[in-house]
Amino acid sequence: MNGAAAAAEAAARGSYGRLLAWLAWQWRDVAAAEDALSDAFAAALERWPRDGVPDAPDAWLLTAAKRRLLMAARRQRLADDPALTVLWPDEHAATPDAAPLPDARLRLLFVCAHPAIDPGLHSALMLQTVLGLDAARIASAFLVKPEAMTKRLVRAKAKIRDAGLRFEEPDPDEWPERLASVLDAIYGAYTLHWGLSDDDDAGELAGEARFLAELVASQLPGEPEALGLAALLWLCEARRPGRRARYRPLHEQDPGDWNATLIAQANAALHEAAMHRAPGPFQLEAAIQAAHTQGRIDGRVPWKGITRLHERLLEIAPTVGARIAHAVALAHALPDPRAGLRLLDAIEAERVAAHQPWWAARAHLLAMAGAHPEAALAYGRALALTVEPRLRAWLMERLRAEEAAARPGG
Amino acid sequence: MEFVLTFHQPAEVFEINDDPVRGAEPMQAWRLYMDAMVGAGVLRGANRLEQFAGTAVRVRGGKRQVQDGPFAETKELLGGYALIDVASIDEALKWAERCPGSAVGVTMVWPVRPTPKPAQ
Repeated sequence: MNGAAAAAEAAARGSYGRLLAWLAWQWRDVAAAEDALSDAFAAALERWPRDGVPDAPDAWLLTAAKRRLLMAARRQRLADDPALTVLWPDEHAATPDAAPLPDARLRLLFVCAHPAIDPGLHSALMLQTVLGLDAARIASAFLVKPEAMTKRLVRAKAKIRDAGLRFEEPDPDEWPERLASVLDAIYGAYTLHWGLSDDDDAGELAGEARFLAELVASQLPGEPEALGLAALLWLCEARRPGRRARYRPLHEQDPGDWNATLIAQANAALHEAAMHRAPGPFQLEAAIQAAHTQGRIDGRVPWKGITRLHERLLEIAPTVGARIAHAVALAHALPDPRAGLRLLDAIEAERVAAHQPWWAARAHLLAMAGAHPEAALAYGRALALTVEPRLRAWLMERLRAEEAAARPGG
Repeated sequence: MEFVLTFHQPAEVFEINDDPVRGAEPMQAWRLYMDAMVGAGVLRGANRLEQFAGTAVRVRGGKRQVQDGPFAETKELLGGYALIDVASIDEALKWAERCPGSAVGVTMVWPVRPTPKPAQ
């Protein structure tokens, strides 16, 4: 790759979201800002090899994009009212402006997770606008028809423009709910990588989500839930190296493989968040992960404390995932696998018939209870619902073990 | 909404699957996959096909042409299909992804075109 292409690449990676957020904020039109910015990148790739890379590539790109937006707006206004022509500045007069750009990415995140936008699209919109991922890649990550994903994103952006969604920070009365939507969408983007088998791509997507979580936490240091989400992602990331080679459940992982710096960073963030005395789902999730992590390091998992954290989490957010995790924690805390199984069976069957974590949890508790044939069946079902190859390999091992235990004399 | 999933795989995959020893694990994966679709209440029907024994029949200008498979133009052979009934294309894609064949071949997802009710 030549210097100009590399500089354009670097600008794209480093500043795409920053530039787009600012343009979208100024123009209140995400799609138009995206078009203008991609034109600007195309122009850069053509001009820079010839004229040299400008001193401030970002400012150059921004100026070029603004010029395109102005031209488009002028064309529109000319069509509406030709008399306005004189009011518009000559686009060639615009000079690169090197003043630091106010960071509008947080505003853009709030718009992407606006209540007027389908919640199922919040993560996808963030990945596309703030991080510049293309629709085809987003479609693969979400396992959606590429054509359908493109259409949904286009519609969402039209809605942002046509409904005039505000790029200002939400009002205090709607703040907690709006922030929760932003954090949920970032977490949604992070959890996407669990379904992917390609290590590099998976790691990259997780990295992008972590970048967003850190961005929000750094811009809103007084928000305990923003800290909670960052802490949660750091704890998950800290254990990634251990997962990379072969899947192992937490209690079989070697803490020596974990990233101690990230764990310390997460614990510090959790402590800071706790000072606000406003626990929320992400702080609780992170606290559960922290307890598991510390328990593994100390050699004794504090199941009773973990169960209490799960109970508090259920009071705030009784999701299927939270109910499953609670059932497993309770089974270990008592210890009584049947008590956990009763909680699992209380979840509506149609919600879990094709839900891998439910079958894996059920299999684990059945094995704990010594019900090997039933455990083997449940592991088989979990296996059929799993795509990730390392997780499949581990479930297959468990299935074989339960099949062996179920055989007479086994 | 109904969808037909068609399972296409390279010839060597079928050879492995048909081997009693090497095929034990993949065939168990297929059984578990079908069980999971039954358990989730989405499976309307499924069949394996004799993927090496397909025969092509064409009639062109009144002349018939009969050709035995496997057909050189396709690297992956059609080894079976399933008819499923799910809420959306998204859910159909999810079942296609879970198919053991998707890891070694390709699973195609075909929306079933609704047929108008026959006039009485």
